[in-house]
Amino acid sequence: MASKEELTRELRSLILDSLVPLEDDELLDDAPLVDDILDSLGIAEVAVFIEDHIGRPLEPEEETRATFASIDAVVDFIASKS
Amino acid sequence: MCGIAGVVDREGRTPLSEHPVHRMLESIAHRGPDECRAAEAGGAVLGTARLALVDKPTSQQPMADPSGRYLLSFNGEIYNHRELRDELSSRGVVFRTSGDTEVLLHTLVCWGVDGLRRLKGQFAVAWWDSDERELLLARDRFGIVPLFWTAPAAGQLAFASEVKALRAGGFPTSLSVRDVVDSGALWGIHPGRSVFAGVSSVAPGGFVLHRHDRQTAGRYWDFRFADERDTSTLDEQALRLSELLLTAVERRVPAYGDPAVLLSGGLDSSAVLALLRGARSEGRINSYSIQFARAALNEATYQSVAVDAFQTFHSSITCDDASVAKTLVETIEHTELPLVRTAPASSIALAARIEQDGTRAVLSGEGADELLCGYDLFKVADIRDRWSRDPSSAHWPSQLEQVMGHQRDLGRAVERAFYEHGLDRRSDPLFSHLNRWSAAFKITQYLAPEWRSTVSLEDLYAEVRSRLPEEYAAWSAVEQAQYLEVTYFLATSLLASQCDRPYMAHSIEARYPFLDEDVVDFALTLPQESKLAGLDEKRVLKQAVGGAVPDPIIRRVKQPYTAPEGDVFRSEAGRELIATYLSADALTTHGVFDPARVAWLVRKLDRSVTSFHDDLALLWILSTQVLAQRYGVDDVPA
Repeated sequence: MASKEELTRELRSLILDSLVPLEDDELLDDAPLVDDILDSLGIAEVAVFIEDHIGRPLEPEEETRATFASIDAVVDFIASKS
Repeated sequence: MCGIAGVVDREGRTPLSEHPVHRMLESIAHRGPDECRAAEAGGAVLGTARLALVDKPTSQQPMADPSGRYLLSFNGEIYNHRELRDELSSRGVVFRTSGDTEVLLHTLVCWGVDGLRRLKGQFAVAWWDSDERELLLARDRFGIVPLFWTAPAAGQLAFASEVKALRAGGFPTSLSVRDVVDSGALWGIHPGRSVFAGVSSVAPGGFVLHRHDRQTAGRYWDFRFADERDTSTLDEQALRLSELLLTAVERRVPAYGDPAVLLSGGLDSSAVLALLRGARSEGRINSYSIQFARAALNEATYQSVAVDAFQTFHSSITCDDASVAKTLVETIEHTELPLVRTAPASSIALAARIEQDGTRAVLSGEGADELLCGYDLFKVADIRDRWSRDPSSAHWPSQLEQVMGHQRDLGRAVERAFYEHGLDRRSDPLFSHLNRWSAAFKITQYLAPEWRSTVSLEDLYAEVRSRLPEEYAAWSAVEQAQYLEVTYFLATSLLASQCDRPYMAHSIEARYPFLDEDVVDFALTLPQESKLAGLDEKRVLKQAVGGAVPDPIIRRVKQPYTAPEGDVFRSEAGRELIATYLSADALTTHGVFDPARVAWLVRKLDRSVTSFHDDLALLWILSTQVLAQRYGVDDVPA
């Protein structure tokens, strides 16, 4: 089980390398991912990231905006399910 | 259709033979290959590159009235010219020609600006009164026909069908980055604006009066839903709609040659074809289609159903990633707008094919989706409106899942997260479009820092809100969405970029029965449930043409017309475009975009799947670069 710090680093790397053209210091861990940063494909990629880490598909009731709200929210969600 | 251009210049001393209007007309000769003429009257020079579709022999333009006081350049068609001729004749007007140009001239002489309300047609008009030294510029209700103007110096105004003519006349036409951004985020431009600094457009349904160095903009028609809605049954409404549509189709059949229809394979173009065949049981009808090499985008099956049912002489072209890439620069040079989808490149290829047949006019089904709620966007607006009032219900998210079936492979999380965004902003008048526009606004992350700091999403919204009519607040979420779609997407992305410019590049006039004045006036009286009920779109139209259009087309799940997007840039021709226009050098030259961020996007294209919005950004950036190379870029605001 990765630590929260490792999860954060891994998720930031996914977002910055593949999803948005931001510099490291432009991506805040509490910034609203869904509203301001990711597009639909980006959300789908983060969903896959979560599922890889919790080892199962997301349940319908887990696929809410709150789950994807920010980097911190995603990391907290994974930590709570692991 | 034609191209028009002209200059009013208080200090003008240039002899007509040397006047820049000739260069202006030459630059838009594709719009009117039959005849190019200019005329002068009391300080104004008006010109027309004419595509003669009515009264070929005698309706020369620019046309003066017998007194020589008035001069008219006119681009388009007046479909009710016979009725107006009768009315004017009863008032003592004696006509010299049988065409619509002279009728328009006398309509304006007789009623002035008020005469615009009497017109049924698609048109751009420049009408000069040499006694009053007043120029009237006007466009049809929906802005089918383009018209731009600029007033770069006191006493001077120039106008033209396309901005390239203003440029050819020596008038300033550098790109306005703010408007380029708005066009990419809104998929349209604000009425009355253009993406060129100092260049305005005449708003759809609007006019501009130039008099004594001042320009006054006004409107003669507005898109407004009726206060009192039609209370008859759906069957009765459908019967009325079919009658009005039939008249609209007949009005648009060209005077010369066989009628032709642009056939997508969807309900709207099939309805036009059904009505045309109903009115001409024996005659030849041509139909033209775009097919796509990519099976998921191709509608050939349904096109064949319509061709068989209506016995048309059918021609089609097949577009793939490479062919779209190869025509993209030519397309952008004609649209004079940054593109947000590649569909116009397929249109221009089809236009080239149609031109080979000598066809000059084609009927199109455009406009039906906006008027009768064909797009998924309207269903989503309705569902989100209800969801916003019942946020804990699972019913509305499941309804969204059904609507957005084509996104299902991305997972439910996408729909839920994306469409839940802004649910708490139902009181915002832009509620129906907040998600689309905020997602599209992410294209600004590719701007160079000095430009990025000058734009904001809230400023964009404020600009749209400032233009909304008073009545807007009383409309439903769906009808508010209809208004926004008509104002932005229909006027710019469809009628301008996907229709007028690509088809006129090959001297072909597209005509739109669904945008007929009588059809539209009726549609604006319909209650929402006649257009959209739950997930059933365009109900009244399906009922109206149900007996005529084949069932497989009536029953098919509506497919948005989509051309290849991101993969266009993965083709060899697409790679060449990227190398030419998105290199660090090319980006640095114009200074609009951040080379490092654009390079990131190109790397993403190279190595992985790109999203809808990645593809949109890439196309928008590339087309802006093409335009920047040709027109230059306005300065960063201080």
